[in-house]
Amino acid sequence: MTTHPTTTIEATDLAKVYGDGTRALASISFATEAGEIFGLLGPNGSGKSTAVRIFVTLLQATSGAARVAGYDVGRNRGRVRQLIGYSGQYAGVDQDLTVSENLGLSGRLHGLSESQTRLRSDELVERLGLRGVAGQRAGRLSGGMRRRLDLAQAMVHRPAALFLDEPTTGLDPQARNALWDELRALSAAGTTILLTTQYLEEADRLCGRVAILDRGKILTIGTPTALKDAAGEDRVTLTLAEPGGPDQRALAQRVAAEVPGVLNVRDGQEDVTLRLRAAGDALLELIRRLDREGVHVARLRLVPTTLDDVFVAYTGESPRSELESGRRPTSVFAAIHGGGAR
Amino acid sequence: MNAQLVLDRALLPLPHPSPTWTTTTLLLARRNVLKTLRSPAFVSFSMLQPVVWLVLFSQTFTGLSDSPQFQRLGYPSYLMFVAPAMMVLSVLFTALQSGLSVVTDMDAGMLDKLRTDPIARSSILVGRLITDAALMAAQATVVLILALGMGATVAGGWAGAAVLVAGVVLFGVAWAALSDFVALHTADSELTMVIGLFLTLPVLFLTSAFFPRPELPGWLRAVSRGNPAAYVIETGRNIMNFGNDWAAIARAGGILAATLAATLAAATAAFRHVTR
Repeated sequence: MTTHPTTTIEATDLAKVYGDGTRALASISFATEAGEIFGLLGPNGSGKSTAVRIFVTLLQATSGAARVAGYDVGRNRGRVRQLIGYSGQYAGVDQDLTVSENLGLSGRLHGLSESQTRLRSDELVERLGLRGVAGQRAGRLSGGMRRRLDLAQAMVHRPAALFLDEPTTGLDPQARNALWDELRALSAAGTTILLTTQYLEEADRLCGRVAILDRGKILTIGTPTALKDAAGEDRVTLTLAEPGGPDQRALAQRVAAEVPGVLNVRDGQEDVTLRLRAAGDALLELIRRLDREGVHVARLRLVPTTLDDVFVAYTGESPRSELESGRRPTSVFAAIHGGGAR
Repeated sequence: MNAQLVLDRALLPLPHPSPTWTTTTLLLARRNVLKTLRSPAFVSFSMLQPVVWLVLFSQTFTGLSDSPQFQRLGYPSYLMFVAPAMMVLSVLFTALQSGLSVVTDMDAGMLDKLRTDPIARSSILVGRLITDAALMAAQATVVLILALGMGATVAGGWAGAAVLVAGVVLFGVAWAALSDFVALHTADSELTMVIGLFLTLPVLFLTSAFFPRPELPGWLRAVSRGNPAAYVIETGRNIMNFGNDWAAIARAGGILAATLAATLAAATAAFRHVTR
């Protein structure tokens, strides 16, 4: 096998209906470019994992085609398995083996020689911050460390196409950044990456393009910037120095409403919330005018566009909670996106 | 600048052909053996259990050998009668454990990862079974040595003893593959255990494992003729008591091999079930 400079990941009318009748994917189509980092963005139960599991040959599609580097994953399983690396939502590490042994096993099972495996293991242990625990059994690692080991295993053979199912869930910011760096480097060297995520920020920082998935359908595909612009608005919350003063609040609202880029102004009991497009310029102008008019602002909070907002823009409603869709409930989605009690 | 260049080349996909079946099977077997050895308590109890079975059974039922019906059969002692069955009983528990290991790998996401690797499904299974076989061989040998220490003899000599252990392991591995089959279908450790026990204990009681065959009711005798466990136990007993009848040994070996082929094929096919 030589290098695959043209490794692409393609779905054509890909659909999956499980044995119990659950329609997980309803005919999705997309195609990555070679070396692209492509994101599948959506809440739990939207079909992200199903799509990935089809690509990595763990699931059979009900209809349609999934291709990696032109090879149909249903018909050319052996070929596809040579080309891919996979890290699923449950860290696939052997608890009884050490970090090095786990990496060694993965490398060797992918056909690397003993020495290649050692070289590559050392490299990844270093890059992903596993140096200090290389000799420890995986079962004794923290959740985050185990996750990193799992990701290292998926990359040990330098796959032409890498599939990562929510790779940064459970990682601390430092580890997350290290992983992002590693993924960018891999992508720059020609590895095509398909990852799923619930975080718009992750998609924003990492992905060339993103497909938004909801209830097994792709709502839209685009660059993160384009999606955010289309979804529209950043949110700014002003807390006034004297929240009780109705004059101040009225004044703040009047001033804010006149700033170009501000789409609407809402009066809360304690504060004033604005929705605005492209917060950068509008925000500066807002602060300048508030100051000039003598409004005393105690605190100003900027909430950038979230996945929720993008969803609302494309579906007209907030992403369903897991409970409503009849699947396992999860608090992760709510916690991440500031929904619920937060 | 130069370092950057080296770095980038280091990131390119490595040219690597898929490893051979033998390589991956041995790699996975080594992994399983390593796992087993890292659980010394598991190994100790696996070895202790057969000892307890043998002592318990041979002492409890030793009075049976005084009955005229038993003496008519020509076995010198109940120990000589029951020892091969104890070897089988011991490895059957290891066979049950095989399916549980598969479920553990499923729960840990380990099996998913292996299934996306460029390796054959059968090598995942055979890698598992090789490890089981090694543990079973150790168990069967311990029971045999202990029986010899308690006064038993093997009429078939060294060759007979080797055939006896091999037969017991062959049967055990066939049952381990069956347990793996159940595990892959249920993906549930409790179910695997319950179904495994259901498929295991009656198999033993439907043989002359603990009581001489003429003592069994007629219908049970008929059923036990189609039972691979009956072949390994009876052939083993004949080796210990009367010597090597190679024709009978070959026939029993064939039946055990066919049983293994069937359960292994079923377990390999069960991987397809997981894909749906």
